[in-house]
Amino acid sequence: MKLPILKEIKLNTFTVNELVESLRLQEAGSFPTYIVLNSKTIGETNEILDSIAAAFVQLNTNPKFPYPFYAVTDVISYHPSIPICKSVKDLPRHFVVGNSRLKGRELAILNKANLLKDKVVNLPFYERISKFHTLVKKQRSLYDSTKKLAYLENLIDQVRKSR
Amino acid sequence: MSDKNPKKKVIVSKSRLKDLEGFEDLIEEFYDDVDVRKSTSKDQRINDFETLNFLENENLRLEKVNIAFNNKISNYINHPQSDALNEIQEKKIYHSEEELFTLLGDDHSALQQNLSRLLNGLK
Repeated sequence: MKLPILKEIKLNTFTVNELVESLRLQEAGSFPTYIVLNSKTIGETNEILDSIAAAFVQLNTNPKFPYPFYAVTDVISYHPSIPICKSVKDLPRHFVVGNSRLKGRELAILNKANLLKDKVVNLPFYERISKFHTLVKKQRSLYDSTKKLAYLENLIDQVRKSR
Repeated sequence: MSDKNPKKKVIVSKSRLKDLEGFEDLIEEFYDDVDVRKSTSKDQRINDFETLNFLENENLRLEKVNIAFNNKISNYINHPQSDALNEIQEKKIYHSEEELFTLLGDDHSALQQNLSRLLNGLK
């Protein structure tokens, strides 16, 4: 049983169908993974990341949950689906641990982690995230209207006091 | 016999053990009650706990992801309150605006008085 620690994956071709196969073979989504995309232009990087995001959708795996897939590049700082890091050093330290032989207690905890991972992997992430985004928009509009109402009530108070 | 007089465990550092390499059996043969052992370095012990700590934190993280997506977001999706609350807020805003315009439109309101002062001053 392997520890869920960061590992680099190598991708040679970036067509969606081939990416699906490569990502499946290299266990992206089952472990925290990253790809280094240096020496690419902004356009190329965006194209590659869009293809990777499409491949993840085909694999029915989310690039953020349960284990993240990072793209290491310094040409862009944001992509809507794939988390970006500027350099390998900036990757989260949480997933960087020495890979030593596991002992009894550690194996027991890892077993529990694997059970949890299996439970989480089966969740419909894409569907829930898209519905959640709709809810977030409604919550923002609620925040705006509450702010407007507070302003109006304050104004009414001031007008009443000035009479 | 060995149960009554257990061997004394002599723990030596890694570098010292290197000097004694090959002589462990001889030392143990010569001194019957000595058992030469390698000490666990502090770094090694820290590494052991690092893995354990990482696994416990990882379990906690996965548990939180599970709760967030399985319980919390599901609850938000199945029992949304935003629409109803938005409607209440919109009604309150409408009534507040009406009240504000009535107050401002009153002859004795500060706005009316200031406006009349301003406009009368222009005459």
